[in-house]
Amino acid sequence: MPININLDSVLDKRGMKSNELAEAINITTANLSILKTGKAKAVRFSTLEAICKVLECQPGDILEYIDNE
Amino acid sequence: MKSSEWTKNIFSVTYYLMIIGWIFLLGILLYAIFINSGKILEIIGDAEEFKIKSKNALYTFLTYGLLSGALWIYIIYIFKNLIQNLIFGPLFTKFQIASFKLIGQLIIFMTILDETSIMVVKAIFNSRLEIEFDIFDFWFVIAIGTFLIFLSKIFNKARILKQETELTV
Repeated sequence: MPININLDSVLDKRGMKSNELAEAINITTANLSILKTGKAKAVRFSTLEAICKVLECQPGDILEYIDNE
Repeated sequence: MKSSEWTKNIFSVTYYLMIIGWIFLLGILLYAIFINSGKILEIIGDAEEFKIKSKNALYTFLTYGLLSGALWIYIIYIFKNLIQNLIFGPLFTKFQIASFKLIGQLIIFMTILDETSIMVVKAIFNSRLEIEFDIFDFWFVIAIGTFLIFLSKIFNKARILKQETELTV
């Protein structure tokens, strides 16, 4: 998929673990894993808002478009 | 009793009745071949669509009946499994989509094959060439087959939608 999820690098910068983020934004670790591995088909604005709030970042820091062609 | 249970039971009863009918037909064929074909010719000589006059016609008629019956039993068997899966399993699975499609295709195939074979048998054994497309025996059954294929496409779209919903974080 041409949309990359850079959640791992943002988490590293903040020194936060996946399960801590999952707990903070109130989603399951399984769902966070789906998001991190790029298997997710869609991301709710509410989830994106919660991630940005907890990690103090912008949506663009997490989502990146890569042109494959 | 719930309607789903009724449907499941109706398909189960139909399935076992068809198997009994098939075994009975096999018995008739074996009786005709090994014991007394004249008696069988007397009983089923005046079939609905055409007259069976010779031994060869009788054997052909019974053998085709067995083959066709076996396929219709297989269709009912898939239907029975599908109904069970729809009632007890999760919805919109690949198995359900494939089953709907296969049943639809087989129903259409068998209906056309049945009609064609009757035409061929009439042409060979009764020397008359005619084909009937009865509204209930042919077009209605074809419509059911087509509807089941259409239903498999709907289930496939539903599966994609379900997958998207499940993979929305």
